Amino acid sequence: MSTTLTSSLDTLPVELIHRIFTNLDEQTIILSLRYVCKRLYMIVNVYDCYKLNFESILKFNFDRICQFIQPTNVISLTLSDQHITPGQIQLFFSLFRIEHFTRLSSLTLIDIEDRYLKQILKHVKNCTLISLSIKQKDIYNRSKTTNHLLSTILKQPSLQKLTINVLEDGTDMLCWPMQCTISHLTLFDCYSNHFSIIFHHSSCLRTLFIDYCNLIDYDEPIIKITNLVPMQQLISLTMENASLDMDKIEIILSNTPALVHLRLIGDIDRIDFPWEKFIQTKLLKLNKFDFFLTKKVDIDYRSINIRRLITLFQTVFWLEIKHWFVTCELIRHVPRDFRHLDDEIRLYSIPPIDRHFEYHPDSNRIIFSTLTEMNNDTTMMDHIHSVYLETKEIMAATTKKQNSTSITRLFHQVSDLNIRIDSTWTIDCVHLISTLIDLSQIKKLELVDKFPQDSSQIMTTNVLKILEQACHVRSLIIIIPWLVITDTKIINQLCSMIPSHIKHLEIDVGSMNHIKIILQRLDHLSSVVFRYINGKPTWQTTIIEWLSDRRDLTYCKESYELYIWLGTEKMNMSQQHRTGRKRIKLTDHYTDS
Amino acid sequence: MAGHKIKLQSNDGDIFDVEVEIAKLSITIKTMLEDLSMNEEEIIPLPNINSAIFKKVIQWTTHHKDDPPLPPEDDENREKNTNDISSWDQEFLKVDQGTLFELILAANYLDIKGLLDVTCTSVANMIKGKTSEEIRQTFNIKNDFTPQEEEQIKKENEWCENK
Repeated sequence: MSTTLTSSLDTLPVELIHRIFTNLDEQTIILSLRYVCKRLYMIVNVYDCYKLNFESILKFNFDRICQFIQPTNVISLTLSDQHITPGQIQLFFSLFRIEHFTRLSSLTLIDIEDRYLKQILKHVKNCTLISLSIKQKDIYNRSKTTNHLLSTILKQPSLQKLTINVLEDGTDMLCWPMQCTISHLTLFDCYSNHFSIIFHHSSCLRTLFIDYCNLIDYDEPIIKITNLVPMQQLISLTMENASLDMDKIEIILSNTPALVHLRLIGDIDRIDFPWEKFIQTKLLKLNKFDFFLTKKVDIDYRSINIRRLITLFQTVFWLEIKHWFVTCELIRHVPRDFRHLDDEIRLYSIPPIDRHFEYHPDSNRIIFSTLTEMNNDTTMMDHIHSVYLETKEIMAATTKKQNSTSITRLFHQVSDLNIRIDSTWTIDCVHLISTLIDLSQIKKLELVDKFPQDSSQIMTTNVLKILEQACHVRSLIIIIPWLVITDTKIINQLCSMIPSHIKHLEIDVGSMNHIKIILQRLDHLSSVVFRYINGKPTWQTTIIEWLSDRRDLTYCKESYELYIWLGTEKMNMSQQHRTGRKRIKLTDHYTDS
Repeated sequence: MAGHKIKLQSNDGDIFDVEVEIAKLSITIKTMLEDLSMNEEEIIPLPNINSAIFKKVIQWTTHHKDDPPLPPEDDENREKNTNDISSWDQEFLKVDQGTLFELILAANYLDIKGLLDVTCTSVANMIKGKTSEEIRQTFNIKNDFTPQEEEQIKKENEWCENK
């Protein structure tokens, strides 16, 4: 369609450009769009609905945005002290006072320590927050003051979304109001004793997400779930990374009659639970049921026949009424001298929805599915974003088959790849991995070698081959214990392999010299984590002093780890400070149309 | 009433017979019909929209007439998700930039939230991850900063570009 219309981005009314901003990240708005032309410069300056998300930002972009932003123009703020941004929260509040963020409606604090959380909550209890998300790093040190402040915020009628981590034994002493207005609740580390609290106080709850839901009592005492008040409003329930005691699940789900969407991911104690009968009697409104359930079984365990198990899902109810399809697999972990794990049954809805998928070659699996044409659908695994695999297993499977063509491209959308390597993986194995997974999509690559012997030659060759194809990796994690005892030659070799698009590195080191080599050679890194099992406590201070003369940085120290968030080099920083916090004075008086 | 039609006139004089239920996806038209008690013979003028753009608007509203109502406007709920354009909408939005921006203006004038969302999302996708210069090239925008302002911007960005 061709037109002679003259509308363009720079002539749109301001309110429509601001509407486009709602679909953009703040880095694009502030660091790119602002410098396109004078009009956009002015429009960005007056925008007052910034949603700042600093969860994975590079430090020099963080500094730039902090120089520009006015607290009163921020409506949503996400701060994080995770591995890739250690020390961010302290730095942010050295630049701003929380009480100046008067229009904040959403606040997310990730891996925050109690001392900062307490200070922040004192002020945000006066804000009309709609959404509050807190993942506290030192939850076992949560103070009485913090609990009191959180309890006060829970009573705010404006609060609709809450994300929080809780303690197993309930000692967090949170005081939930009788009629909590929260409609979307996310809990981390939830245990059996939390359910009666949630069900008694959250009558408005519409969605409940629980990450790490621990319902199986492996040790005494057995905690029972009793006297739940039915949650009539709840339409969506998700439990991920869960250990599911089906007796307890039955009680919980019997009190959620309005449930429309149910998602369960985790270990289960009874794989042959009669779902059909239960859904037909208790969950009459359920129209979406995603699950990925696993159960470890002994090698000699014969009571579960997976062929019989799949017949539970080959009924009219599953196939014709609900159109829900299921796959059941028996995974035989081989070779047994490598992983002394029990075999495993996996039961999952199709397409698989577990974000973290453990891959096993076909030769190690017995598969039954209610969807017969599953193998022809190339998009079947497109919901999988994280894959774990073991080179030993792939090597064993291909040797067994003597036919590498048995592996075909399965994963097209994987962004996180975790490879457990060993001393015997060959370049053929790398080839098979690249056939199996579209490596160009990978953003985070983790290499784990649990064996103590030095296999540096194999590793460097193979990793180089992977990195050649994984051209969008930003985060590289190398957990290899023998690096601690290796010489600087290998460290130098590794450094020469790491391309400039990698911004975050986690690595084992054996000496301060290793650390200095890495920091000097990889000056493109934005964050780095050094692990040193045999290191001396004085290393941390010495390294930080040495590095502080060269780079702008924040850091966080643990017993055997040093986390650093790297900013600009000192020389460039002085230039930045000369121009910092100044806004350009436009020579023309500019008025928006 | 299903199939009942009204007449809408674009700013270049063309008159369109549009089913009421489809036309009412525009809150502007819906309000006119309800508040002004207009009868079916009256022609409703749309002075801000030409016939080429209005045809596209009708095409979009016809396809989306049975969509569930969108949630109310809410800054908190308006997620920065720029990847959720349906395949039909992606095909619909394969138009030149002039048409895309006219569609945004039309959706705004007619108050059709779904169309405004998807057109703004499409523009955001064209901007996302680009540098200032790439945005200028994409949208053919002239860099009108003075040399002094350019120098100031350069200083602000110098250390950033070095990376």
